[in-house]
Amino acid sequence: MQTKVGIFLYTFIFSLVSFSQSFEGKVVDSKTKEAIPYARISIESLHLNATSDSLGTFHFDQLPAAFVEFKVTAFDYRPVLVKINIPTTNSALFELTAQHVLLDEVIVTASEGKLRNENITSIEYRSKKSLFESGATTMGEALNLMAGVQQATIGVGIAKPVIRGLGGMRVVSYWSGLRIENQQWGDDHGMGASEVGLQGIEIIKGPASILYGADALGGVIHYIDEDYASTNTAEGYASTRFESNSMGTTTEVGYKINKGKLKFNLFANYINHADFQLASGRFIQNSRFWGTNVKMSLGYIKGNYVFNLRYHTAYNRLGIPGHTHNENATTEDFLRDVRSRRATLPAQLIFNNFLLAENKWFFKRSELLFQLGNTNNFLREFDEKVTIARTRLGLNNSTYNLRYTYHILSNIDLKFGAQGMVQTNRNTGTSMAYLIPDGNSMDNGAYALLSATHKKWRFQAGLRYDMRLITSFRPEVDSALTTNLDVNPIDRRYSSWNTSAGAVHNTKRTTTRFNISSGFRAPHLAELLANGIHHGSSRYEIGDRNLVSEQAIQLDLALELHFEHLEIIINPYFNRIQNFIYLQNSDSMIGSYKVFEFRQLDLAHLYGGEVGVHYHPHRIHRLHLESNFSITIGQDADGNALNLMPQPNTNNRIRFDIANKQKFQVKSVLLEHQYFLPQNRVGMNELPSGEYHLVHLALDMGLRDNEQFSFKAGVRNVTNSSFITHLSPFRNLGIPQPGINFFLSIKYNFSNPHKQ
Amino acid sequence: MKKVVRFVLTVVAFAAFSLTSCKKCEECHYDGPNGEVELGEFCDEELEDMEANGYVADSVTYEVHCHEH
Repeated sequence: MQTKVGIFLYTFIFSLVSFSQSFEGKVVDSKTKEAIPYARISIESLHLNATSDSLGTFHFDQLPAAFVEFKVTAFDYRPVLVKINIPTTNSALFELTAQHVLLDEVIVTASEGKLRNENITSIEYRSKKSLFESGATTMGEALNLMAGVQQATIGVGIAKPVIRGLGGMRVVSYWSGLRIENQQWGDDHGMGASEVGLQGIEIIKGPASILYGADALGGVIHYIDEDYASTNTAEGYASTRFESNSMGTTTEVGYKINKGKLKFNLFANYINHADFQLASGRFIQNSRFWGTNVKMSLGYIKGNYVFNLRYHTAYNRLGIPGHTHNENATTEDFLRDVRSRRATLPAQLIFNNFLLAENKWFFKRSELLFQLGNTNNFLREFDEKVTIARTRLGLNNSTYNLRYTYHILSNIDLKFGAQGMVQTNRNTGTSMAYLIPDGNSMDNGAYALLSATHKKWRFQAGLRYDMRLITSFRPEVDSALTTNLDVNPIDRRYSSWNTSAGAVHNTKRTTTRFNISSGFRAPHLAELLANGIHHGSSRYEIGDRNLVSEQAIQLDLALELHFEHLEIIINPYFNRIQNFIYLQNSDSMIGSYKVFEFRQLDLAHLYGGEVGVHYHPHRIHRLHLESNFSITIGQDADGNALNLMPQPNTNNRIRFDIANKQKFQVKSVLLEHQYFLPQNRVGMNELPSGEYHLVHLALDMGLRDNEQFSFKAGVRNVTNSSFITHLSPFRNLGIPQPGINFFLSIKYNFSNPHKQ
Repeated sequence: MKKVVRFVLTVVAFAAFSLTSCKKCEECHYDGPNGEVELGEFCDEELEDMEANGYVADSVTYEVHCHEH
């Protein structure tokens, strides 16, 4: 019997598998038919890259006999995506059309692998270069640039992204395909991801349960790492950056090598900031932080099999500002006249380890993806003792993701798969009263997604079922540690069906998109059972064990107008959330902490939209104008405003590229203006927020005879504005964000063809 | 390949250096009946003992604080 099964499996597998193919091609200008040298040809699903030579030719040796999508990009040309059936075609001529400006419509998204204007859902992508172009200190600060995204910050080191008014547990983060779990229920628990080795960030706005599972009611943030180096090359860089406001430094190194079948990337950084300075010249006490990250990825390809192993380790020490022993605290208690870098309390020490093993098999008409991942987050919070942590929480999350994509026809794809995770959350030596008990959770989900293209239309529809089991345990520790805690164990099961359907219609000048998608989020242990002081948030939190799952459905529309030098995007949405869980500010105090209770609204509506304009004046091609506006209105069924809705805001960028022949060249000047309108629609016991303007200036510089060196310099918050964001948990304490900040960075790049 | 190994070892050394904590010392004090009493600097295990067990003076055990606040 075993022999028969073995023969069957062998026959079945080899009927699907084809052996590796070589492929060669040429990239030419569509009008002149002249070769385009240095064009980049990428196959993202295989993590393969090549660069065309002086004759415009390129070749790949390791392609599977399957449908493969090529992305071809070159400076001053419009990128193209071409799907080729490798068993029947082993060469291609790619014709690119000259385009002196590159507008957003031609950005290729990682989530769907499509040009942005072919996506069904609302996806925004920004490269790391673009995000940090104006000198943002942290990734949270950089994300403010994206329409519909803001950050909730504690000091500077701790930032949480908020998408269309939803943050915390309603925003799910993925790192190159791995779901990041890092105690995101706490306002004081930051993002978990690092900008080191990052290629860009993709944000899916609105519920995205079909491909990403439970919780993503607000959206998904996808941190995408840098590609591997081109075949048979090695490249690397070292960079350092200084910031005057915090006397902070960020030092980073990266190395990439590609030897054909085997590829390897390695990145590391070290960040250190002293206390941040306010516009008034004073310093935010204990806003100092330091951290280090190391990221590695290893790629292997043979025949129809592609393997990627990714690992990220991070250790951060974050000071928690906004702490005092004064019962009648004023803003003065949180400020100092002298800057310090010395480690003090309270502080968080966070040790993260993320590991992902990704396997892909390519068959003639299909692909199989199997990912196994693990994230481990060890959080220690020190409050009164230097050597004894008040809180020690260990969160371990193991994930799997199985997805089969079948190309029914060249224009019809069917994806189906299963996803899940097993999570354990443990107090591992917490010395003071527990805030949450130990618990486990297990998620399993299965889905199917069909997408089809017909002429100018693309359609997509999907269905998914998810189930989450949550269990908590009665703590077996000194009862003094669990005095307030609801210690009765819970054993709950939450399940949900979710759907997504949409269509996009493209013409030469317009893109019209329509999408309806649903999502669900089961309550977290903290929302169900918390009862204690949450020091990082400076409040006493009380959970409710009767909370039920949130269920959201969002309608998203978009109209995009594309002209040769102008692009306009209008993207309204309406998100309806049943059983909306929120933290209600109560009138009572426990000790010196204000009491907040988790409650549930029958219905919440979040609606608004984003408008974007991207313009390159025909007469001044070196000038780039980019602008967006976003607004979110949140209210309950009776029209009462919800708490913590972001201020409407605009981001405006003007960049002027400079061509000169000086030995030391200023290559571009960037001026960025951010305007946050007042937020007067506030929830119960919430204070309104005032408007503020921020202006940033940055210069990009280099050497005429040495392209290996590049320099950046600039000023953040040029006008030294004093401002407090509406989403800051420290708004009630009156602690503003930092004032003016001068920055300077130097980067050294190298690249060598590898000797074969 | 040797270059890669050398580079990896350099980065591992960098990571080990970054992640290894150095000697931890703090000035400690306790709040006695007549005000704050400085105890001087304590390091490593002595520091842990002081924070865990407190300081005994005149048969009274006081909680010890070892950081600026």
